[in-house]
Amino acid sequence: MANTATVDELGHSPEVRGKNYLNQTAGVWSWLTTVDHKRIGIMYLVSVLVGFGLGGIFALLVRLELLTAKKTIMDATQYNQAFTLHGAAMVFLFIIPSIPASLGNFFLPLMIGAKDVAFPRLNLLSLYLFWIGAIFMLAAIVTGGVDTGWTFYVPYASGVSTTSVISATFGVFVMGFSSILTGLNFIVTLHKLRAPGMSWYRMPLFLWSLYATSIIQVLATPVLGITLLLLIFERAFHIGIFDPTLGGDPVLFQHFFWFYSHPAVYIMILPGMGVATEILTTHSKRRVFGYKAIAFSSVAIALVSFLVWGHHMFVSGQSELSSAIFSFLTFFVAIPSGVKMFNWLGTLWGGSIRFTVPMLYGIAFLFLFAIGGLTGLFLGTLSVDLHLHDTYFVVAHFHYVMMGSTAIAFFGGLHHWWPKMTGKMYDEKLARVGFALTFIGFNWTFFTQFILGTRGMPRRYYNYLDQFQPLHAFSTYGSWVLGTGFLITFICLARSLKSGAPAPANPWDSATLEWQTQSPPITENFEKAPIVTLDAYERPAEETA
Amino acid sequence: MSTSHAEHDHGHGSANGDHVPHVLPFKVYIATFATLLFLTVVTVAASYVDIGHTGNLIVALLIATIKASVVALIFMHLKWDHKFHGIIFVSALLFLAVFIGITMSDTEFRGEAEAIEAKNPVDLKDPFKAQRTGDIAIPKEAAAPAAAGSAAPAAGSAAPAAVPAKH
Repeated sequence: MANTATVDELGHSPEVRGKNYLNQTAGVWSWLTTVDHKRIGIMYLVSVLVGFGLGGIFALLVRLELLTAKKTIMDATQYNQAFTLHGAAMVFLFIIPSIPASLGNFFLPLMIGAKDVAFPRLNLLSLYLFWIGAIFMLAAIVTGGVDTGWTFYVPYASGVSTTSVISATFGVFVMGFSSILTGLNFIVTLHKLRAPGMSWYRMPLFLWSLYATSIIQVLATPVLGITLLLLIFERAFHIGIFDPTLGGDPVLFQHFFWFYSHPAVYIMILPGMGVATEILTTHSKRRVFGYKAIAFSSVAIALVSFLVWGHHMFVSGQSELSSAIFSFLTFFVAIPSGVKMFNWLGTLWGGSIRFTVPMLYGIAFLFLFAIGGLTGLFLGTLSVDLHLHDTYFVVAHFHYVMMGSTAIAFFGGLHHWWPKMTGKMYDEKLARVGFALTFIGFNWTFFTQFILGTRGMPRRYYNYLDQFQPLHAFSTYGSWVLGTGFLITFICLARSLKSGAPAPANPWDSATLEWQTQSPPITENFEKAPIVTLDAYERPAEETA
Repeated sequence: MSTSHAEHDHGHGSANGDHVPHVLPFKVYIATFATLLFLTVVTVAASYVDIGHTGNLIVALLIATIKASVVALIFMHLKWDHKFHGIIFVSALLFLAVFIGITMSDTEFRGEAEAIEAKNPVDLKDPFKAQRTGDIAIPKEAAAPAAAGSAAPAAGSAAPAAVPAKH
């Protein structure tokens, strides 16, 4: 933002130049005991990328199995475990913590001009809780896998499945605490640690999205915790809560589960929207169009997200009254989402658009989120959902939102902030190849599944009718292109760590505060506490113009 | 008890937002504890008075609400805290109400469509007939023969008269 009266062009005196958060102290122990939000963010980043790799391997295995209509590489039980672990790893180990815990942890204090988050030790605790939860999940994989689907629906999960359901659900339970603590930390940090002059309406919109996300994390995650505990109690001690043979109500489990998990969809997508906003404004060199509209639409999405969970349950046996109410309420999500979309387009309009790698991801986000969001309206329509429910149309829809939007925004954000985090520039050409293959492979894989779904291919089926085989094979070929794209992206980023050119403090000529310190930042973030005098995304030149 | 807390009006919500510890006299805690015990006794006593299922439920919930309010206001110090924290607390209750309320729109009305369908079984050979008879726009005289027809499907039809509900 260069909107500080006390910070020079690079923000540092010769004494601190060359020192940064990476080389301040050395050794594994210094990392494991750090309370620096940047190091914690980096450890989260590595962790979620491992989760992404794990989930990705299971995804490729699932797609490979579906290459043919009968058995290809695994039996039906292994297939059930593969798609369950793909879903569970991607949701709980990757998407939910991906942007908030890694990029959010790293950049939230920097963007508000703070030295750290409000509770640094709590921040480290949340990372350890995440690791502990992940260990339980990995233990579940090693000790027999899980075959319930990532939603752990009862009564199968509570009484029928012979796999390691308790270990997996307990892992998710523990990771939930990590999520709550991170959300709490962010809320307090944003309320209490903004630099002088950094009013709410001067904050970058990524932070508004993190704020909205944190509200959901704090309010909704405890419900998941309770639900999974009840599931564990029912499975371990046969206490009748959800299992009808024990006097329970299985549809009640779905109410409990989706009261968290639908808002959790917005835990996943809202930070992606925030990242996209930062990318689009920076790489089009234009101030965000409709700042307040985007900010409040994030909060609106967070609030509406609590009122629509039953649209996952239209065919569960819930009452028709409930289904009609949920279908009606679901359409309200489209309003703030549409507000965002048009404001992003308004931001690009007349901007000086540079097709940098982050911008390519940002534009891809717009395309893919438009498709993912609009197909969500199809599924929110009660009468249409009765036909499309549990088909590949649903699979394609949520992959366009989760993968096409959130994961694409995450990788866009990673490329955007990589120079700041590592102090290294990456090979633009190779990164473009990685992006192109990812974008093509993604649409190849999942647009095909929209067609499969509308033709009646049910999701989670091991064997399927021969008529679906060509489209399944086509989708599988796409997954190989997608996997190659991600592999190239990882190679590109990893190579930059070793041989990348040193990154300047502000390679993208961005207006936000995190670029006004050196790359990578010093441990204290800023040598002198910044004083903010300009509005969000406002440049000094505009002030004098 | 509020008289001893004049200083807290200044202690909370200072310009820099720092939190000043709030201390209540010991007797206030004892009095609160006694109130909670007394209300517990009232709850048990009220359960012996039969004023109908709904009446008993309302009384029990009313007493429980008073107890929870006493805990929140005094033990949790919300009475002397920032108004903002009160809003947060009430918001949490609101979310709980949304969760339970909308869930009850399912549990209290589940299966009603099945009951209606059972009264008007679908004739697979003319699946929209039953719907037409259920249409209030059709005069009763005109609908009566059709309704009788749909209730007794054509003899010799191999297909079942009623299809199971979608769920």
